[in-house]
Amino acid sequence: MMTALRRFLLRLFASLRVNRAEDDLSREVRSHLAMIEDDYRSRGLDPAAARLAAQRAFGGVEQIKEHHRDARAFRWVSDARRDTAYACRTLARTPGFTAVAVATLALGVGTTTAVFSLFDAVLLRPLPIDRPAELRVVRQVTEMVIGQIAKENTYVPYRWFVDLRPRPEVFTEVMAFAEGHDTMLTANGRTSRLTGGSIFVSDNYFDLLGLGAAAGRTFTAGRDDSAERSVVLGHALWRREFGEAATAVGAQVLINDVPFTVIGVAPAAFTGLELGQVPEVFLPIETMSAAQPGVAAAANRAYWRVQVIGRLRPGISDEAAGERLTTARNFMATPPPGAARHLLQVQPVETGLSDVRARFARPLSLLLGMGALLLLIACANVATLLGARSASRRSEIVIRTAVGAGKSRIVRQLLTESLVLASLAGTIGAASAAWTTQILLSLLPQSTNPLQLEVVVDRRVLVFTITISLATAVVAGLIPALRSLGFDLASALRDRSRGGIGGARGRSFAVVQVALSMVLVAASAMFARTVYNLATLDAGFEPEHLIQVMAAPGERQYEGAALERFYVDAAQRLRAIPGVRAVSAAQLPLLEESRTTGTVVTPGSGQRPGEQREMQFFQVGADFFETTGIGVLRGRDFSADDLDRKRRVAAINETAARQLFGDADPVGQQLSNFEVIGVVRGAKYNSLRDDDPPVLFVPYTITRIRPRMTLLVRTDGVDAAVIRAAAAAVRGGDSLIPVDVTPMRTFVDRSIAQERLLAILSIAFALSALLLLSIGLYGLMSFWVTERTPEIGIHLALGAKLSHVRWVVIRQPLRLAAIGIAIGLPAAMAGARAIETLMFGVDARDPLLMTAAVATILVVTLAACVLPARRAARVDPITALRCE
Amino acid sequence: MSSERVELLQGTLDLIILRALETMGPQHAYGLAARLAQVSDHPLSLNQGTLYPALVRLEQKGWIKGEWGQTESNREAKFYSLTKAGQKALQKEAEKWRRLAGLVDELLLEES
Repeated sequence: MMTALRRFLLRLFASLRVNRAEDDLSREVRSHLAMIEDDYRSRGLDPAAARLAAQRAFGGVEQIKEHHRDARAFRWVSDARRDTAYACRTLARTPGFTAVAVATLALGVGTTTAVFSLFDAVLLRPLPIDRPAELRVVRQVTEMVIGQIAKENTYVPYRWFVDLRPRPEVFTEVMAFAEGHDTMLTANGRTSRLTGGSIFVSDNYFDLLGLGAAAGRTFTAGRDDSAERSVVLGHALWRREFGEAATAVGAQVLINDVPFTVIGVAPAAFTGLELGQVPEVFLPIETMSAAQPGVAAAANRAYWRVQVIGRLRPGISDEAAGERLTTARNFMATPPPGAARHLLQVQPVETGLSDVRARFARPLSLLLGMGALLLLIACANVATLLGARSASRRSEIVIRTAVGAGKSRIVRQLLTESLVLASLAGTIGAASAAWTTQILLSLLPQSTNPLQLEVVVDRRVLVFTITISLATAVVAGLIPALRSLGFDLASALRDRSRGGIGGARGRSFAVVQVALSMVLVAASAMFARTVYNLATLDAGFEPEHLIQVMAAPGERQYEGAALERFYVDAAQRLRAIPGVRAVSAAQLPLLEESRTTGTVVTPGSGQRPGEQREMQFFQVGADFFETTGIGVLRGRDFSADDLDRKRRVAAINETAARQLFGDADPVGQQLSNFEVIGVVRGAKYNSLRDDDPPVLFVPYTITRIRPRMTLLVRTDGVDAAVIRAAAAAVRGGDSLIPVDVTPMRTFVDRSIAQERLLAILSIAFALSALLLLSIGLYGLMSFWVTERTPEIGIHLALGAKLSHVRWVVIRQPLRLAAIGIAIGLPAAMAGARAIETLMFGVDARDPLLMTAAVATILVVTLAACVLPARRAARVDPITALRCE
Repeated sequence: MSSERVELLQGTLDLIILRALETMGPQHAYGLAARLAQVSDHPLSLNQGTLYPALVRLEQKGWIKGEWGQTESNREAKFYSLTKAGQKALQKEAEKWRRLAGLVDELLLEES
C-alpha cells in the first residue's frame, strides 16, 4: 500500500518536473551504448562499425526513452503540461486578445470575490464560540409610567445578573458584560485612545463562550482577578502594542490611568460578540467603577447596566424561558407601586445581539447577485471571443484533426486555453480582492462608531474564488470548444463563411449579455432614483444650518436639579454664540433610528370612553419647532415657561390630530392628562423612510431629567468654528463632559448611506456590464466584418450604397439587442419586486426609468458597431475580391 | 526451440532483476542485460524497452537505488543496488513465485 502510494507520488512528481530525470536518462542511455560499443570493439570491430552495431543491439533510443517516461510519469499529466505550454504560447502570440479576455474575467471574478468576502465576513463567518445556538441574551420589555413609555432593550441592571446566576432553571450558566466608555490605554510608555473600546466581563465570560487564551490565561472563576486588577488583551491590541510578544503577559498597563496587569490574550478569531465592534481590552466587571473614574454611572453598582447571556437549559423553549425569567425577576426586585408590566424575554445571540447581520443581509445578497450577473456577462463575453477565435483558427483545427488528433484531445486543448485565461483572471481577482474589499468597506454606512469588520481573504473566500474561476473556464471555454468539433472536415475546408455573426451560439451569447446588462442597468437606475428620492425628500424639518449636540453631563455626576440646570445653562451659552438663531433640546437626536413609543388614552366622545393607542413620544425643549423648522399649523411652540413650570402640555403632529381628533381642533383639548397646545406638520423623525407616524411632543422636564440629551442649534451657517464653539459652550467649564457635535446634514447623509452605497455599486456594476457588452459586441462585429469582407466587396462592386453596407452591419446587433431587452426588461421588473424594501419611492414600471435603461443599452450597442460598420464601408471591392 | 522467444510473465522481470542484484551486487543496466542474457538458456525477449521501465518502477517503489559510479573500464554508469525494502520484497516475491510455480506444476502434472 505504502509502496503503491510512494510510486504514485513519485510518478506525479516526475510528471511535473521532467528536466532532471530526462538528463539522467539520456546520460544512462549514452553510457549503456558506450559500454556495448566497448564490447564490440574489444571483439575487434572498428570504431564506426562498433557504434552502428551497438545502436542496433540497443534498439530505438527514442522509443526506449518513451517507455521509460510512461513508467516514470503519468501521460495525462505531461499532456496537460504540454497543453498548458501550448496554450500559453498561443495566448502570448495574441497579447491583445489575451489581455482583453483576462481583464474581462478578472473584473468578473474580482468583483464577485470582493463582494463575497464582505458577505462572508458579515453573514457566513460563525462566531468562533462554543455551541453558539444555545446562547440567549436576556431582553427586558418595560412599560414606565410617564405617559406609559414602553422600552425594550438588552441592558438590564447588574443586580439581576447577580440574582440570576445561581438559578439553573432557565440557563445552565450565565455571564454578563458591559461596554466601557472612551478608554485610554497606556502601554510601553505610550498613551492612545482605544478605537474598539473596552468591555467589562464577568469571570466566566471566556469559559461560557468556550474561548481559550492565545497567550497567558483568561479570567478564571475562583481567582480574584478583579482585586488583582487583571486585564485580558484583544488579539489586535496585542499585535499592535506588543508585537505578539509573550512578554506582554505580566506587563503593567494603565487603563484610564488605573494600573492593570496583563494576564493573557484573547484568541485572534474572537472579535467580540457584536459584529463590527471589536473589544480591545477585557476587564473584570467588578473593576468598572475603578477603571472608569469619570463616569458617574459606573460609580455605583446600582446604576450598572449589563447585557446578560446564558446558555439555555436543554429542552426549554424561548417562550418558557422568558416566562420563568419574568417570574424570577419579580422575586429579585420589588416593582414600584403602580408600575405596569415588566417582561423578560430571551433571544438567540447568533442573530439577536447585533443587527448588523440583519441589516446587511439583503443588500449584500443583492450585491452578490449583481456580481454573479456581471461574472456571467464576462463569461458570455469571453465565450464569444473564444468562439470567434476558434472559428478563425478553424483551419488549424481542421489540419490537426486531419493528421489524426483525437477530438477529445482538441477539446482538451481548447479548454486548457480557457483554463489558463481563467486562472490568470482568478489570480488577479483574488490578489485584488483584499484591496477591492477595502474600497467596498469604505463605502459602507458609517454609524457613530466606525464599523470594524475583520474582512480577510480566508479559506472560504479562496475556495469560492477558485470554484468560480473554474466554473468560468468551463462556461466560457467548453461551448466554443465543443463547437469546434462540429466542423465537418470537408465542408470546413470548402466553405469559409456561412451563417450570421459568429454563428448561432455567438448570437445567443450576445443576447444573453444584453439581457443580463439590461437587468443591471435597470437595477442601477432604480437605486439611483432611490437615492435621488431620499436626498430630495421633504424631511418636514430644515436639515441645513442645523446642528445636533449630544451631551452626557450625567457621566460627570450631574444629577437632579444640577442636571436640569446644566441643560438650561448650556442652551443659554449656545444662544450667545454669534450666528446662532435658536436653540432647543430633545431627549433623542433626530434621524438616529431610535424611538420611544407609548400609549395615550384617546379623548372619548360622548358616551364612548377613550381607548388606548400606541404612538411615538418625543420629549423636547422650548422653541423645538422653531429650531428644527417643523411648521406649526395651529396653536404654538413650547415656551421656556412650559419647561420651567413642568406644564403638562403637548403638541401633536397632523397624523395624530387626524387620528385622534378627526376634524375637530385639538388645541386646548385634553389628551391623557396633557393639554394640547399645538399641531405641527408631519416630519421624518427617526429615519427618512418614516411613514409619518402619529407623534406626541411633551416638555422634557415633566419626567426625570435624562443624563444625556441632544441640544439642537439653528445657525446662520455650519462651519468648523461654530462646531468648536458649540462644543465649548455645552461643556461650559468642564472639559470632561462627553459631547458630540454633528451637523444635521451628516445625519441625513448617514441615513441614506446604505442606499447610496447600493446606488454607487449598482452603477459600477452596470457600467462594467456595459463596457463588457460593448467589447463583446465590438469583437463579434469585427469578426463578422472580417469574415464577410469578400461578400461586402461583391455587394459594393455591384453598386450597393455605403449607407446600406453600414446598415447591414448595424442591423444584426440591433436585432440581438432587441431580443436581449425583451428578455431582460421583464426580468428586471420581476427582480425589482423582490428588492422593493431596499428602494424608496421607485416603481419598477416607471416608464421614464425603463426607457432610460433601454436607451442606454441601445446606445451602447450602436456605439460598439460604429467602428466595424465604418470598416465595412471602407472595404475596397478590388482587394476584397482578390483575397477570395 | 532455442530461437523461440520466451515471453516474460508480468512481474517476473522485477523478480529476476531483484535476484540478479542480490547475487551480483550493484549493477548497471548493461550489466543486468548482459547477465540476464547469459544466465537464461533461452534468449529472453528482454530488450531495453522493458528493462528501463522495470528499473524506474523498482526505483520508484524504493526497492532498488540508482547511483552514478565508474565501471572498471572507467566509464561512468548508473549502478543499481538492492535496498533493505528491496531485499524484503525479493523474499516475499520469490515466495509468491514459488507458490505459484508449484501450483502450476501440480496442475500440469495432474493433466498429463
